[in-house]
Formats: sequence, C-alpha cells, structure tokens
Amino acid sequence: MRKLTAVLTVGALALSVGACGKKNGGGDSASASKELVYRSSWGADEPQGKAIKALFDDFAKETGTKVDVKFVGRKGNDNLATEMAAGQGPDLFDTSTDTIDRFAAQNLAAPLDDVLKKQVPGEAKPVSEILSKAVQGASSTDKGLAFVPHTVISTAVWFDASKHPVKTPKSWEEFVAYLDGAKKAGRTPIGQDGTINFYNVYWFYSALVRANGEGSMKALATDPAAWDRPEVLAAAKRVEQLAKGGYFQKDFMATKFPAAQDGWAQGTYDLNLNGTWLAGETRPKLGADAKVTSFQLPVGGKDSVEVGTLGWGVNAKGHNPETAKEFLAFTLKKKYAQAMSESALSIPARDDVPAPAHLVGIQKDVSQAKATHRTYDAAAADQKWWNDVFLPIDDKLVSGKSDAAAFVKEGKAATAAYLKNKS
Amino acid sequence: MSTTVVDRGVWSPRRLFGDVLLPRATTLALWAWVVFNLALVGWVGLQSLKESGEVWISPFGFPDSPQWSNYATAWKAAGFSSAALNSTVLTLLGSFLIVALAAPAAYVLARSTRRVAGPLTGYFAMGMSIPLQTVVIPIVVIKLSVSSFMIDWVTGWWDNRITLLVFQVVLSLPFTVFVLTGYLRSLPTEIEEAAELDGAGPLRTFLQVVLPLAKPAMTTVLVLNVIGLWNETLLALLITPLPEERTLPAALLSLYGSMQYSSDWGALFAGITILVYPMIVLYLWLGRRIVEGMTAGIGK
Amino acid sequence: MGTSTLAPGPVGEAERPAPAAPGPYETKRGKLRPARERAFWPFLLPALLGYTVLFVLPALYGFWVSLNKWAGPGSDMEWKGLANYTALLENDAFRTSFVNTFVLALGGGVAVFGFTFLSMVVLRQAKGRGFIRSVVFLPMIISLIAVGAAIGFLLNPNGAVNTVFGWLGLDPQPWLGPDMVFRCVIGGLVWSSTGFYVALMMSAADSIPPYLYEDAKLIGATRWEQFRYITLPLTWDVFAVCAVLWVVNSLKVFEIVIAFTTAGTPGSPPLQARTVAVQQFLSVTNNGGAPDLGSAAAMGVFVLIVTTVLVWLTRRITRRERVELS
Repeated sequence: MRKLTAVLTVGALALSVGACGKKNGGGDSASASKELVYRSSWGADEPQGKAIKALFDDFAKETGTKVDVKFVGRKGNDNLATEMAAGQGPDLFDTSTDTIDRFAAQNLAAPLDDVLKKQVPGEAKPVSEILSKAVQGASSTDKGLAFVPHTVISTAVWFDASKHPVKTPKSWEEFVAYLDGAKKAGRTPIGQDGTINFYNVYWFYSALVRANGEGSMKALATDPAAWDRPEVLAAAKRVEQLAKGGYFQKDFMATKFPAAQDGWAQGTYDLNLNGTWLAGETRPKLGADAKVTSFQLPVGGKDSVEVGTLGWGVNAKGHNPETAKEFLAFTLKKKYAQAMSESALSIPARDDVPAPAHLVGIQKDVSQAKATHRTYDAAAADQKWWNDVFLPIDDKLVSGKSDAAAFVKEGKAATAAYLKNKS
Repeated sequence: MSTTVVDRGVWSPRRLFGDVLLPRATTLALWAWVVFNLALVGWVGLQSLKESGEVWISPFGFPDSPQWSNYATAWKAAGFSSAALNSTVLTLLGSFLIVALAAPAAYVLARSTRRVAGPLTGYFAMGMSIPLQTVVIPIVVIKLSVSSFMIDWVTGWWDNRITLLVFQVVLSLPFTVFVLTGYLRSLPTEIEEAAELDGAGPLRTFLQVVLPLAKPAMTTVLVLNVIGLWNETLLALLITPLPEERTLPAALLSLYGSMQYSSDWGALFAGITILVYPMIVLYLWLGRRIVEGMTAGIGK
Repeated sequence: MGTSTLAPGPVGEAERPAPAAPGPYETKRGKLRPARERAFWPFLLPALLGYTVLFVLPALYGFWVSLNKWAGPGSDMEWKGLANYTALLENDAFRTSFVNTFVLALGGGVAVFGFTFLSMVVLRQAKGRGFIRSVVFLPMIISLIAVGAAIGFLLNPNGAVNTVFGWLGLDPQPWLGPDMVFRCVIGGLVWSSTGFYVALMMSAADSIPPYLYEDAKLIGATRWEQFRYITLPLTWDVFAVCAVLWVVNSLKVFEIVIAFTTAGTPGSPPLQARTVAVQQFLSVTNNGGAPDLGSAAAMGVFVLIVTTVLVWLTRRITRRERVELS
C-alpha cells in the first residue's frame, strides 16, 4: 500500500528536482523540542479565540517556547484526523466530549493520565484535584484522561426572565402546562432552529437520557433490541406530544439558522432548548437588560445532568508531546479560567471559578448533579450511524411527520440494517 | 398580396400558440429573469451596507445609514487580504498555465494525421466525465505525501498552495483541450502552411500564426477558467485549510460560519460582495466575447 | 491520405524534409506533415503527462482504494474486495443520495433545456436580446456559496419570498424544510446554469443564415415552427454537447447543497437533500472522525459508472444525421 502511494508521489515529482538527501532529518534538534503547534477551530476574532491567543502568548513568554497558533475556523479542521494520521497534524488539537472517541479510535489522542499528576504552576495542587470528577470523566475515554478541558458545556431550556418570567417547572406536566399557557396567550412557546438536526435531537436525547441515565441512548446505536425498551417509546411520546402540540414556531423545520435563536433572544419565543453557548452567540440581540436563566428539562427519573467539556488533546503522532503536556497544566491556572468565564462567557473547567451570571444556575446543576451523562450520551461517536440513520429519523419525529411508534420501529430496523453492513 | 393571405390565419390555434402566446410568455419570463438577476446583485450590494438587524427586519429597504465598516469587519474577520491575494495569484497563474499546456496540445491533436491523434483526443475528453469525487481521496493522499516528501527530502519546505495550483490546472485540462481542439479544427490551414513554407518552425508558426487566429477561443477558455478557478471551493477546502493559504470562496465559507454564530449579517453580505463584484466587473468588461468563441469550439 | 501521390509510409514521412515548393498533385496534408509532426510529441507531452499522472492515475488509484477499508495515510489498509460496494447498495442514506443525484440530473436537465429552447424561440429577434443574453449568463459567474448564502435569506419562513407570497395572497411555504429544500436546490441550479446553455445554443443559432427564416415566414411558419424546423435541427450538434456537459456537471453538484442547508454549521444536510458528492464529503471528513475512505472512493466509482452510462445514453439519444446546409 505505502509503496503505491510512494510511486504516485514520485510520479508527481518526476519533472521536479531530483531527491538528494533528507533535509529535515530526525527532527530531534534542540530547537524543535521547544515548539508547539496548534490549529484552532475558533475564529481569531471570536472571544474564545482571543482568550486562547492570550493564553498561548503568555506561555510562550514564560517558558520560551515557540508557539505556532493558527485560527482555521470550524471548516478548517475538516481533514484534521486524516492529516494527524499521516503524521502531519499539529501538537494540540481541539476536541470535546462528543468527538474524542473518534480520535481515540484511531489512536490519535495521546493518553494524558500523567498530566493529572502534574502541578498547575503557582498552585500547590495537582491537576487531578483541580478538575472535578465529572469534568475529568467527560474528558476521558476508557483508557483514561484523553484531553484537558477549558470549558464545560451542558444543555438546558433557556429563557430571558426580563421578557418572559418563567417559574421553573418541576414536572413534565407543569412544563406542558406552561407551553399551553403561552400558546393561549398568543405567543409561540418554543423557538427551534429546525435545519440544525443536532439541535432537534436535544428533545429526544434530553427526554430519554435525563430520565434513564448514562448509556440509555448509546445503546440505541449498538443494539437494535434496545429500541424495544419501554423508556425509548416513552421519551419519543413526549417529543411527539411537543411536535403535535404546535408549540414550535410555524415552519420551524425550514428556519434558516440562527433565525430561531435570534428570535428567542428578541423575545419572539419564550424558550429555546440549547447548549450553554446560546446567550454568548445571541448577545447582540439580547439587549442590555436581558436576564438569561435556564432550567433542566423536567422529565423525572434519574434526573441526570449533561456534562460535556471542550478542550485540547495531544496528537499522539505530534512532534512535541512533552511540551504540549506542560502547556496543558499551564492552561489550568485560575487566571485563564477567569478569562474563559468573563470574556468568553462560558463555564470554566475549574468549578472554583464562578461562571458568568446567566450560567451560574447550570454550573450549580452540573456540580450538584446526582447523576451525569456525557454530551449526546456518546451516541454521536459513530458518525455514520448518527448522520445517516439516527438524525434523519429523529427529524421526522420532531417535525411531526412520524409518531413515537413509527420512530421506534424505523429506528430499530434501520439500526439493525446498519449494523449488519458495518461488520 | 401573399402576406395578407398568411395574416388571415392569425387567430388559428396554431398561430395563436406559435406566434403569440408562446413567444410573448417567454419574452415576459426572460425579462422577469433579467430583472431578478439584476435585482439580486443589487440587493446583495445593498445588504452589505446595512446593520445586521436591518437585514432581517427590512430586507427590501435602503440602509438607514451606509455601514461601510461592514467591509472592514468582513475583510479582517475572514482574512480577506491574504485570501484575495491567494485567489488572484492562483487564478491568474492557473488560467495561464492551463492555456499554456492545453493550447499546444490541442493544436497538434487538431492538425495531426497520426493514428493516435484521434484516440488521444478522446482520452482527454474522457477526463470531463471523471467526476471530482473519484479523485478526491487520491488527491488528499497525494497532497499529504507530497508535502512530507518535499519537506523531508527535497526542499525542506512546502507550500500546499502549489499543490492546489497543480491540481486545479490538471483538472481543468480536459475541458480546455476539448474546446480548443474543436475550434482549431474549424480554422483554415492555408496561413499556417504559408508560414511553414516561409521557413517558420512549429513553435513560431504556433505562436505567431495559430494563436492570433484562435484568439476568440483562447479568450473564451481563459475567461471560463478564470471564473472556474476563482469560484473553485472543494479542492481549496481539502488542500489548503490554513488561513493564510485560503482562497476567497473558502474564506467566505468560513466567514459564513463565524458570522452565523455572531449573526453579523451585514458583514457576511460585504464578504459576498467582495467575492462576487470583481467577477461581474470582469464580465462587463469582456462582455460577450466570453461566449463568442465558446460555440466555435464546442459546436464545430 | 491514400490519395497522395507522394505518400510514403508513416515512418519515412516524418523524417522527410518539406519540399521547396508544392507540386501540383500534393495534398495539403502531405506536404506539411514534417514540421507539424515533429512538434507532435513536444507540444502534446506536457499536457498529456500532467493529465495522466495527476488525474487519470489518481482516478485508478481511487478505484484501488475503493476495494479496501482504509482510514487514510498512516493507517493500515484492509482488503475488502467488493464489500464497500455491496454495503453502499444496502445503505439507505447512499441510495437516497444516489436517487437524488439522478433526479437532479434528469429533472434539472429537462428544466434547463426546456428554458433554453423556449428562450431560443424568441431570443433571435427580441428587443434587447444581447442584453438579455448577457444578464441571464450572469449567475454562472457567481460562486454558488455566495448564491446559497444570499438566497437562503430570501427563503427563510419569514423571508422575502414568503413576504412576496403574502402580497399575492399565497400561503407561505417552508422552502428550506427537509421536503422542499432539494427542489429549491434544483431551482437554484437551473437558475444559475441555464444562462450558460442559452449562451452556447444562441451563438450556434447566430450562425444560421437569415434567409432560411425569411423563406419560412413566407410560407407562413410560426415562430415556434421556425424554431422547431430550422433552429433546432441546425443547432442539434451543439445541443448534443451541451447535454453531455450538463450530465457531467450535474453529477458533481456539491457546494449549492451545503450552502442551502447547513452552510457554516458542522451539521449534516437532511437526507432528502444529499447528493452523492455531499454523502461522500461526509464520509471523508466526518468532522474529526475516522474517515471511511474506501467507502467514499466506492461512491466516486459509482458516480463514474453512472456518468459513463448517462453520457453514453445522451449521445445515443442525441445522435442523428447531421443536418448541413448545402
């Protein structure tokens, strides 16, 4: 195989210079060991991008490391896994709870358990005591810590108390009663960006996994029989109830993103089920006196809370793994967690640093949760199943084109067919 | 008079359809289409001067006060300065290389009596039917191998923009060779023959006689390639992901992404304008010359 | 070439110097062969080599990859034979994208050439025809990403198109919803590419001598009949080429689907709107996942087969005796 690649390569270069000795031999020279390469999925002008840039600049100044940071944006890292596998990726890569499994499956994420023992500069505690267990768990695979988080993310129902004072519903019935009340008052209770299929799935995912805990949705991807469990039908019935109840805005499946979340920010819709980034993204539309608050979708049962993290993984085929690990301990200094909270408006990975005001509630939900689960219950790890099988079926359910029973039946059959082909 | 005899049939169904209804409806539709196109281009320019709120609230209105700062925002956020330079250099150099490679090949293919000439012409034309999808995977592989090969063994550095240029050129060869071969076949051979009799070598004949004769077709393929390369997105996304390597369409796509998250629509439209208006200016400047040579190549 | 009195064998011919003056019995080709033929390989080779090495060989290599399971350079290849192909045939998402691509090529083609033919009926004499031709060609030069971004705004549920629908007393439509967005994609594609084919066909029609139309008018032919019996037969060759170009291009449709659906977000377009190119892009990139390059390459080969079949069919259907003016 590699031979064929080489033949092609040489063919491509047939007309160019004759090869004459390896230019960048070994790569073990002293200067190379103090270098750090990172390709960020953030934009350079986004608040997160600016905070990360400042962090790298400080690290370069304090340790004398040469840092090579580029902000390639969300589309810029589409080929990242392929480039990393070919030995050309950066030392540090962006990853998150729902993407780390895919890097780990290709052995691209270096195991980071030794970072847990490192001390955060300027503090007496090692990394393992600075990050809470739930946060560590969300940043691990079954082989241990796989990336070091900078941000905690979760999912909740959001409202702006200055426009729609909502009394936190304690049960599904109270929640539906609120929706009915809003509808009767002539408002549209829920704004939903229906063209984003991974936002639509929040409803079914929250209804199922919040009530039944970790693993209840992951099972749907790996075992057709799991679809027959009564709790799957029950969760789907709740989504069906929302879809048929007319609580979403008209033609919400055709909404050009982010029209619905912008509408929510301007008070057109009462509620939006979304991630912790919602208020940050819609800040220009919210207005100065907005009081964004959240509650967990009340579905009873285990009351499990989503804990996801965003952070940095170390490329197992990168050139400077030790420098990368040193950097990771450095990032956990309090100062940078505060920057994440104050300028990037996100929940910092350290729970001893308070989140911005509108996220304090959900930060508390996360730290006091009796049960937690990972983003999408790790069901998105198998992207093919997720994109080709599950999300299309879920879209039909949310849009009201199929009902709960059909959803279960189709899901089971399609998953069985998918798994049969996969082997 | 014979015409009056014909005119008497005006209200026959056949005449009503073929001379009145169909042409009138079509003319109306064509003008509607023209108005739509012009309106859309104007609309995009108008949107680029609005505050992002106005884009949603009054999509048809004029901006309250023109927000020229949208251009600065878009230019900076998307890194358009390097993208514009990349796109310009890649497009001009690429289009030139395409024609420089394709024109001599098309010339000998069109003129040669060798038995291989026919099959070789077909072999080039076959490339038009190879979908990009088939070569995407190998291109990614080659891109990765070339850059590590060059860095490790030959030059010590490599720029993926070179890889992008090479592939954009090569993938445009089939269509260009196809059009030019067709056109050159339709040209009379007398002048070339005279030149050769005067002792001109093949290269001089080609440069001084054939190229000037084939100017309409050359302009056409040049302009079509400029348009194609300027707008090419898929290869650019696959081969050059870094911000400083990016071309304009890729930069626009990434701007689209980040402006969506921050809902800065005015700046997004400013970005679209930066990408689209230069092509329109080029088009207005060259006008109908673009399409003139095209049929000559394709049809004859 | 057998008619040439001086025609020696092909080998000797190439080396023979050009005669000082043309004899009365020489054919044109015969006397000029040496100079031109000497240039054959030097002129041809750069293009031929580049095309073969960087386009044809990669395509063959893609075929090889499609017979394996592979996550990309640096990982191991595992021989799978035709398993990637059979798996695709049983994969609903791929089948849908395949059918979509087909619908796009056929439905879009009918629309594109329907409009083109209608335009040809009137464009020969309409007032401002040069202007119309220039402006309908305009969308062709605009990046589809830009088109998608701009039109997405017009098609939002409370966007401009529905506003206009409201003025006309029509019901607003969920244009970008999963059931309609693909029709919008086809519409956008027809809108942006028809001008190209109008331009091609019209410049072919321009070379038809006007006296034919004058004669036709005298015998009372309507404008539709003039198109049907004069313009179309005499531009049929160009149409045959246009049809092939359309088939080839429509099977590659990618950007416009992305621009109309997920645009800058990391989501996947709805099944109803995916083309094979989109489906393949999803399995190559997967947003950081383990790419399945073997399966993606197999999709490419499928498209190549379909392209070949469709191009062959198109040529069959459009083949007819060439009509020439004598």
